[in-house]
Amino acid sequence: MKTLNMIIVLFIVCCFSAVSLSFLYVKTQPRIQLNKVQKEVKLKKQIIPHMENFVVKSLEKLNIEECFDEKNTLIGILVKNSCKGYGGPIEYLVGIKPEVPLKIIGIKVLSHKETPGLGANVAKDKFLSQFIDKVPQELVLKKDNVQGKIDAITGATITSKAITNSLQELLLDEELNKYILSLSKVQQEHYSLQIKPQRMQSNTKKSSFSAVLEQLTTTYLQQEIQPQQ
Amino acid sequence: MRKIFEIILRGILKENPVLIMMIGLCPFLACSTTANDAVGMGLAATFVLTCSNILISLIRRIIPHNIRIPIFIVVIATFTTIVDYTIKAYFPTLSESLGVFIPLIVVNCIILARAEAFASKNNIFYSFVDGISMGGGFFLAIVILGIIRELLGSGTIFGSKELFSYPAVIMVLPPGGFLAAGVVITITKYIENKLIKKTKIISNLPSSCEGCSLKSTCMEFLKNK
Repeated sequence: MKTLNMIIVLFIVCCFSAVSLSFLYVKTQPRIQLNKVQKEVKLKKQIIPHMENFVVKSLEKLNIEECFDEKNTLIGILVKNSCKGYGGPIEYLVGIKPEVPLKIIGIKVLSHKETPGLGANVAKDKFLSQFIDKVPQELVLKKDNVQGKIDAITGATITSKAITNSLQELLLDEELNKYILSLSKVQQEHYSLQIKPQRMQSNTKKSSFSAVLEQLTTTYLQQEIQPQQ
Repeated sequence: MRKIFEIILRGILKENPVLIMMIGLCPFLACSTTANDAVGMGLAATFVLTCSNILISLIRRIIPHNIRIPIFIVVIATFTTIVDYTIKAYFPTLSESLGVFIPLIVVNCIILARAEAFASKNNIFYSFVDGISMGGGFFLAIVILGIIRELLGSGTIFGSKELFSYPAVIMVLPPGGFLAAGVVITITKYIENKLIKKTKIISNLPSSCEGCSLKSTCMEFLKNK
């Protein structure tokens, strides 16, 4: 009798909890989703302020959004990407200038599970604003490479490294580069002449990345130097 | 009225859950890296503690003694999830700063300890007051630690501008948490000892009873004898 009583009470309490929670879930879920969407739209506006409308396009691996201003000129490309941080995936939204070499206009973190007080600083503008207007190969932590121009977050090396590497990889992504090149046709000839032979020689994906990187930097530096002379 | 006052004093000072009784140290150390996080954790824990205290006190007569712990856990987890969903749906800005800590409240042993030691033995009103005062004690402790660690570790207070350059980063990291917590606990112990000397409570209990959650019960028992 005592055992039966125990079973009944525990069953009733659990049932009560399950019913109330499922009721609350059904009630709140639409609002939670709505809040999420609203937050994303707000962040998109912050990254590309003059954005009026956008077109969603899906490439092979990435989903991108082309953003246009009032005069229907392309002002930026939004990419939603994620990388593996210290505590879980870091989801971020990044706006890219539609010209080669790719540069970042703005970046915001959508969600993360990093340690509060340390890794959580990844969402702060103080860290994220460092990525704006940098060439891909400058996107390395200062302490790892002399060329790097990114200061890591204090006490959160893994987080900083994860997001920096992920951004560099994104900017060097062949698919994205090709797509953006097809958008801006002026530079296309220039690019194909320089890069294509190198790509044929390379075997692995990584070396092709580094080759592209080197070529891009040399062309970039030449462009930089020439007007000065 | 006197009992209410006693409960409040006990929660905040005499039997402060973190600084005197040494329970709930995990969120105390983990969520005190900045003062803002500490405030969020303190508020959320206080809310869940009060609600679970009320409900457990309400159903205390029908809970069989053998299975009280599972029932407490189910009640606490339910309240935590309710808080989580409600904040996410109706207070999105609050949820951005607080959302990380809410799932952590389930494992906050202060709540289970109060359910076991107080709410399952007292009426609803006293349990409510106890929830607020114990939560207040936890809130005070964690905010003090949060302010100390943020000031020394990142040179800011409540996320303001940096007050000085080159802060001691170790204070934000786990070792600094233990250091700061040790200092805060020592100071509280000192104050507590002074207070006890003034009121001259004579107890025949051994010194190892210091900090035990059942100390006051034992002392009352001895007094009545």
